Amino acid sequence: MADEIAVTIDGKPLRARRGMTVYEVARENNLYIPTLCWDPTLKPFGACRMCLVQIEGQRGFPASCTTPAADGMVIRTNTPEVDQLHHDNLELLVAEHPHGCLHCHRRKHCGPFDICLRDVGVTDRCVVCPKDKQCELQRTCEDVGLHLRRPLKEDRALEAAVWEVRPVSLYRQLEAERQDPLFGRDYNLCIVCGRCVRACDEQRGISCISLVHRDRGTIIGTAFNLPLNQSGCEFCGACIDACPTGAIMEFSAMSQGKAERSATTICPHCPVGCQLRLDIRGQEEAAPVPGLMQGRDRGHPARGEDQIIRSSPTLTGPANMGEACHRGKFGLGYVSSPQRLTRPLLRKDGQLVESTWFEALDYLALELAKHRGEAFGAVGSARATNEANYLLQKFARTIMASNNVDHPGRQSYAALMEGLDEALGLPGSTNPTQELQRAAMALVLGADVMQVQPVVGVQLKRAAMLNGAKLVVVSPVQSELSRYAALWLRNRPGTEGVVAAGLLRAILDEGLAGDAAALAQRLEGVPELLASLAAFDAASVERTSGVSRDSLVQAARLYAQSPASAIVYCVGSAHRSQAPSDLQALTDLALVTGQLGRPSTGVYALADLTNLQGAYDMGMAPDRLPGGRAVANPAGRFAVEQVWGHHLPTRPGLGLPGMLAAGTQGRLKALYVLGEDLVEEAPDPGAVTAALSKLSLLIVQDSTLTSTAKLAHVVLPAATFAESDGTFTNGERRVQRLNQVVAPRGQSRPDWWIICQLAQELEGRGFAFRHASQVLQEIAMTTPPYGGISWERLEQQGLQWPCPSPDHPGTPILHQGQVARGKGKLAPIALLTPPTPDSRFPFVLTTAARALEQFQLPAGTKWFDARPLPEWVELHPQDAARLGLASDDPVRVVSPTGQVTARAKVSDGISPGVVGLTFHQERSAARLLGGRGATAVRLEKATAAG
Amino acid sequence: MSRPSPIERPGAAVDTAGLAASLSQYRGQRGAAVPALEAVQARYGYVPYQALVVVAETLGVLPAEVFGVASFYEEFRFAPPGAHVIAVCTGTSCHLAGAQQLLAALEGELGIKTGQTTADGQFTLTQVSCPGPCAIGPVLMMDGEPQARVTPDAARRMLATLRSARSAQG
Repeated sequence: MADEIAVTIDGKPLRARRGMTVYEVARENNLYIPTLCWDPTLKPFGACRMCLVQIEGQRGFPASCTTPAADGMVIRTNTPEVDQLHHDNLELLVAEHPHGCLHCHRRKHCGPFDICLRDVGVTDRCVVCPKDKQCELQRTCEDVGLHLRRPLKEDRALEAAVWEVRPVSLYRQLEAERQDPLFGRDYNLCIVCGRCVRACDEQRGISCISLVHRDRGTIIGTAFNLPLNQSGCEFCGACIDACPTGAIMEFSAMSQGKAERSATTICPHCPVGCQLRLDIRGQEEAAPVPGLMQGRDRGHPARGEDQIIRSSPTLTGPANMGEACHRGKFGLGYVSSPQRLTRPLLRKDGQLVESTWFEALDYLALELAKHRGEAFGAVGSARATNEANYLLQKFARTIMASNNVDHPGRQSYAALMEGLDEALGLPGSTNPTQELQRAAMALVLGADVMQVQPVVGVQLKRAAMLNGAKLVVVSPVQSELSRYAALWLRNRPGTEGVVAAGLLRAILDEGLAGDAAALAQRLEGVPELLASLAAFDAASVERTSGVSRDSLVQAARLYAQSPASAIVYCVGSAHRSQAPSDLQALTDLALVTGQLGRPSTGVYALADLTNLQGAYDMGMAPDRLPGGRAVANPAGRFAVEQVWGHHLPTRPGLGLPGMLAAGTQGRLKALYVLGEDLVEEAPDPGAVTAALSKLSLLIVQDSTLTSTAKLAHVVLPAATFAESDGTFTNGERRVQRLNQVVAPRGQSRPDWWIICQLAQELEGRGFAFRHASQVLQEIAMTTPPYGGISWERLEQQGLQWPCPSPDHPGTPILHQGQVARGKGKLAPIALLTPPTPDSRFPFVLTTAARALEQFQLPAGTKWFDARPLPEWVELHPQDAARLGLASDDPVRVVSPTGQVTARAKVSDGISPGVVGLTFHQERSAARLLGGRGATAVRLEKATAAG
Repeated sequence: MSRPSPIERPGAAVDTAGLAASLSQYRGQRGAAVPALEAVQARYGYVPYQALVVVAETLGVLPAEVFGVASFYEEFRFAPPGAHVIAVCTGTSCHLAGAQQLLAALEGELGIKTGQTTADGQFTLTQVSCPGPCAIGPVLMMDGEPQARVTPDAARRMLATLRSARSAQG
């Protein structure tokens, strides 16, 4: 092969590919060359000078990480000169790092309280460093054999040892930075390899830290050395994962010592489905799910109990490839939260008291038997696994004979998927998210991607950074992504669909997609679409959306003419109700221009809940069985009945609002709620509380005592994502395996296990599952796109459905060659009217760009639990002046459905007449939006912030 | 080396809109940090934090990146300079001619370290790396004007003159 070259390293003949660097060749062949600034995800940098080698015919000692390997090259990595160079360069690198221990032969035997007979200050020792035993610098010193004749900073080391206890943080006389949330920085430990700076810049496209003071003592810092949360930092933690020393460390991992083991699983926080490696403290291997009586029963994580101390993204994760965000990196603390439920709770004399599984299950078997049929309802969760949702709906449909199954996020997501199904023939986003970084153009609409699915946002940034992709961002507020946009269309909130229709119209008017006759050959529904587009001429689009004709045409050209254009619609809280019709218009756009069925094209619907796609596929819906089969369709029902061996109720059941209404009226008697806090997430918590209080039996299965659980008759303690096996289906239809990495806390149990026990208690057949993999096996039988998916096949990479048979490789890109339904079907434009302000509610509400110091993390994340996040409302200086508001003033934001208290933030990044709320809490969205989409609000001065 | 603490907190009076307009020629050019910073320093006499933010927004990067560039150059200041800026050349010729002694004398006389400004806001002491007139070293730049063969005593006299001129005025 022309691309193959032959090189010799240390006398070993090796084959390599052209374009590889000398270091990469050595690494691939397991030949050791020391490095400190090299990182697999970053471009070669050549700063640390540790990887110097000798190359025959070349002068001097080139750095192997920046030297391309050439055919016939003869390389030596271990001559005495090279070894000496490695040693001397390392000596220079550690000169500013506490190094007394780095060249000590006893380091590995040293404990924190040992008396050191050498001249190393107590606080300068490796044993007190948070990175001890996992430090790349330590390893490199060992490998190179660092041997110092004397300490490099004799005076200071002696002084420290003899006269005073100096904190290690004073080694460079820099103060450790401990004021930031989530992680700390101590640049006395820094060797200035620049990996964190490059990770921040190259990998994430942020650059909130930089090499500063490059004239005197180069060091890493933010602008003016301000705290990270004022610097633009997104707290993705890429810098931590890149650091070879203990200079940057998660607070959670500090003073925890070396992790005893690590394991990979899937992040539970959004539909990207990042693969994470969790470092765990605690000796136990994750045991299989224990029986009823086993399991330690302690409320608090005790010493020695499994604890996740660090999470880092894996390079091999198919959906993230080395990326994560603040949620995956820092948001897993809830697993070991003291608030976890560890035993079943039973209501006795009006009080929830601790009970046992035996008692709880016995009680439930008796009680549930009284409420079979339509008096029973089940609420699943898009945060729970496929197995949990599958079994819950099976439980409701077979044993309880009720189609009343739903989950809170279903309605809007199902509408999105049904739209895609109708137009294209398959209910799922069309392409893998990793492809976005190779797109030539992307049209990004809806909420801020960097907030809803940050890892996808990184793909978009990379497309712009690395490939010069043209990003067209349609957003009412400035966001981090608009910095990378070729074109930022600043629309009014709620008018994304109008912009989409305007783009369609512009494409047709400009003749970018052929004439109507040519379209009609490829697509159905052309005349209807054309008729509906009549109302969307450039002038009226500009009037409604505020996007000018010129920029519309420019965006239309970019989209239609780029070799690979993708549409990314990000469904935030404020977009849920308008999203389905917007997405239909956007799908039309993809169909008309043919930007579909090829890599880096297609339509991406990015939602916010982890397993929305899975819950949809599993039939967690009142009108659909697994595999999207309609309940009312006898043939579909029959297919499922065959597998389940059970007759199914034929009438579609009630959705969640219907169930709550029926509860209030007394028609629904029993409700089984899995992993959702219905009260807190409701627009009107009072009404939901009232409905739930009228039930004869409320079962809540959750990992903490939520507001909903407090109303329950029985509370079943559920295991968290890290404590159970199962699968999630991410937003790109990838079914990925969730691994049990720690033992369930106390007597909490995986969701699927609890449902199975309950079903068997009720003498139900078809629930004798002993492991999540067996549930997946049955899912494969009932859900055709999952037909070829099995536990074993998912071990490494996951599979993207449709995967109909065991030898099918999965389908990363849908609609290749032709659209799944044959001919694409255009939907006529039918949009919701965007909210119009009036005298009572003069402002249009949107989601504010993330204020720098504010991030959404789940409860149980220690740092944020101690500092609850206030909501901020962003408004234009003109509006602020009119209302007499200044930044930081407490404000009440009032919508027709509810109100929340926030603090004002005056900024000209937002248009007059528009206000942006940070929506930190799910309940703010629920209260203000009331389950509808965008809305108009008014602002009132409040006396005190709540 | 001690790390400069936040030298200038956000909140200095920077007319952001006007500055942004004056920097519009650098919009979107990641490589234009130095000319943009020079414009800022010409306008304010130093680089205030808020102005740095405007530069970053103009170039399309985050402030840290611009600060990384700015902090490399001795020329850029991050705190308001004194009424008089004294820059001692520490280039090779002046070094040999006694620049270090000159600097030490000035530090002693003013009671500040190099790079700082006196509490009364009168004098800023900095160093500069060779403005050019090596033949007449040690050279000291007094408010941009080169002064030839400045001995420690000459420097003290210079300060005395400036101080008395000020007290005569005030």
